[in-house]
Formats: sequence, C-alpha cells, structure tokens
Amino acid sequence: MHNKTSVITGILLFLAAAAFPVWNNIISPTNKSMATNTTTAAQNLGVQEEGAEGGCIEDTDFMRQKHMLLLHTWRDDVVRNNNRVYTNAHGKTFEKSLVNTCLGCHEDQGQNKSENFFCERCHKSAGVRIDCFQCHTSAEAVKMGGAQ
Amino acid sequence: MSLNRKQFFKMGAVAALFGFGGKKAVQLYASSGGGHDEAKNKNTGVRHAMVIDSSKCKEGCTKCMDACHMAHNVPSHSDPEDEIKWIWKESAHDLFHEIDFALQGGALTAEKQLPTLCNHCANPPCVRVCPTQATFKRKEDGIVMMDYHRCIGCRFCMAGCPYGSRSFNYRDPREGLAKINPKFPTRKTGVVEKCNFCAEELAKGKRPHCEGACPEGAILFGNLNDPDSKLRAVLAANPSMRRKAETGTGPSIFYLTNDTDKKSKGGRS
Repeated sequence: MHNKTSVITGILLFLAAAAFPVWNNIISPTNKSMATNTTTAAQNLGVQEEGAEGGCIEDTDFMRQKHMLLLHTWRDDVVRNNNRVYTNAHGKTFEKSLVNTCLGCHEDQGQNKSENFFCERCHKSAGVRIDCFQCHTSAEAVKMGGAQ
Repeated sequence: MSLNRKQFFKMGAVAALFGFGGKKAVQLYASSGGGHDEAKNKNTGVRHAMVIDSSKCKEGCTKCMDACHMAHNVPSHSDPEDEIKWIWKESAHDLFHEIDFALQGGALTAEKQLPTLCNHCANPPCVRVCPTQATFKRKEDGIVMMDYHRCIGCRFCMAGCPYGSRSFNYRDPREGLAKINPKFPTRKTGVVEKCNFCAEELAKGKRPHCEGACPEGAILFGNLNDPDSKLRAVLAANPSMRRKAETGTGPSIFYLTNDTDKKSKGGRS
C-alpha cells in the first residue's frame, strides 16, 4: 500500500470524528446518565415536576420515560376497547384523556403561547414532532378557533 | 424455457397441493361478511338503536343537529361539497325513494324533512371495506365506531356506505368551526368521519345529544335486543321503516310512519 501512514491516520481521524456523539457523551461531565440528562433539560425548560405526590398520574421518572407509551395505550383503550379509567401505581383513578386529564394541569404553564405550551417545550427542544393537537384541542386551539 | 411432459405434470402436482391447503375464494368472502340474514346474525348483547317519530319531528327545527354538531365539533363549511354530516335532514322521499308516499306513506308525506344519521348497521359494509380497521363495530353494544388515528383517508367506507353517512374532510375542519368544544377532539384534513352514537356520553351513563335536544320527543334511543325496552314497545305498537334494509346491512335507525299522536297505545310518556 502506498502512503500507509497517512491512509491509516486518515481512517482513524474519520472514525474519531464520526464517533463524536458517543465519546462526547461519555466524557461530558453534565451528561452522566439519561436520568440526569433529562432532569437538567427539563429544569432548563422550566417543566413542571410534581410526580404522583403532586397530583400527576404517575411519578416524574415514569412520565418522563413512558408518557408516549402511556398515551398510546390510553388511545387504544378508550377508542377501541371502551376502557376509560386509569388506575395508577398508587391506586388512584383518572379518566384516560389527554385533554381532560393531562392538559387539566399542564396547559396553564407558559401563558398559553403555542411555543411555550407544555408538550411543545420539550418536543421542540428534542426535535420530536407531535401531531396530537391537530385534532385534540388545547386551549390554544380553542383560541385559534375563535372561541371562548 | 421449454417444459417436457414430465416437468409439466410435476408443476401441476405442486400447484394442486397448494390449492388443497388454501381456502376457497368463496369461503374467504363468506367469512368476511357473515351473510346477509340479520335475524341469524343477531348479537346477543346490547344493540343500540334509535326510533325517529316522523309525525313528531317539526319542520324547520334543527335542534338535534345543532346539539350534535356543537358537542362533536362538526364543522359547517360554506361549500356544500365540503359538507360534514353526522346528523342531517333529508326529505322522506330521499330517505325512502323506493316508497311511493302517495300510495303507502300513511301520515308521512314525501316532502317531510326527517333527521338521518349513521345506521350503526348490524352488518356494516363500511367496516368490511376498511383496509386499516379504522372503522370497527363494537361487540358489546353494536356501535359502528371510528378510530381517527388509524384512518388513512382512502374513502372506501364512503363508497361502501349506502346511506351517505360518512364525510371526508377535504378542508381543515377548524376553518368551519365558530366555536370548539375542547372536551371533544376535532378531526383533521384527510380523514373520514361520522356519527358515533355519542359513545363518549354513553360511557358516562348519559344518552345521545340528539335525543336530549329534541323538544318534541321525536327521537328515542334504546336497546333493540332488550324485549322489555321502551324502544321495543314503540316498535311493537307502530309501523316502522328502515332505510335500505333489503341490502342486508341491518340498519338500527327506525322511522315511525303513522301519526303517533292519534294513537294512545304504545305512546311514549
């Protein structure tokens, strides 16, 4: 092989650059684990963290990691199985409803501006597009519809 | 490629083996439909149904429609081609075009405007044609429901429904809503929608909005499978018609054709 040293150095440099997200996560002091990572992010975004003690349906860690799974299960339970009551880990019951249960608390944060809307704050920051509110109504949607 | 006689017979044998293992096309179609005999295909549980009393329904009144549309965020668009229908009024002639009202309509005339809605069929063609099972029939109470999350907007159900009870959202429904009821979702462009027999109210132990909104008591909701229900008593005491029952769909909306005020028996309090 011609120019053995420069070719191998080049390959190694490329691999190091391509693996940047991986080693940066490992050495970065602020991102030790996923839990601390999301906590910091949530704190930076000013997201409410009350957990089941504070009236939320489940604990903060559970909601942070599994809210999408929970909402998908609720969706199928309500629409397809006519099962509308959720019992949480502490035995408390809630109506399985994004608008009537979740948004009952979470809507008021952020002065109802759509970019400050509770769900959108994290989802925008994480680059995850949600289409729930194309149909389900937040107070913001009600305003846009010229109502109330 | 050329086949000799021996190869041809071998291929034939393999093809025949597959044929014996599979189902006949006739059986496949039969199993999807469940046949057209409504009496034989009765579900034994609750079957929600509705009776519309043609003599009590008042000309020009739209209270049932208004209550439904308000509760379910049904938009009203200016272009009639974009119309979204959950419950709406049609003339008796358009509802029952096979009937000559002058001859056999009794108290009901062809011009009389009557409310009509999804028939929540016993054997719903819209459910059969839906490729994603977005439309399905609830086993526990016979309501033909829609899962808007699954609807891909193919409109097969609109072609399948003989009653025109399904509407496609060509436009953003929020354009046509003066006021949004935040307790119920709107739909979005590209999905089909229809009456849900107020499944969300029934879940709370309440009754459909249209029944409650009618000041004349022209709409009665009940369980068709319960022989002791008020609905069955009214049906037993009065002649009734269903739209296109001969197609085998088993519609659950009944229209009373006589003048119920003139009769005392079977009347509703």
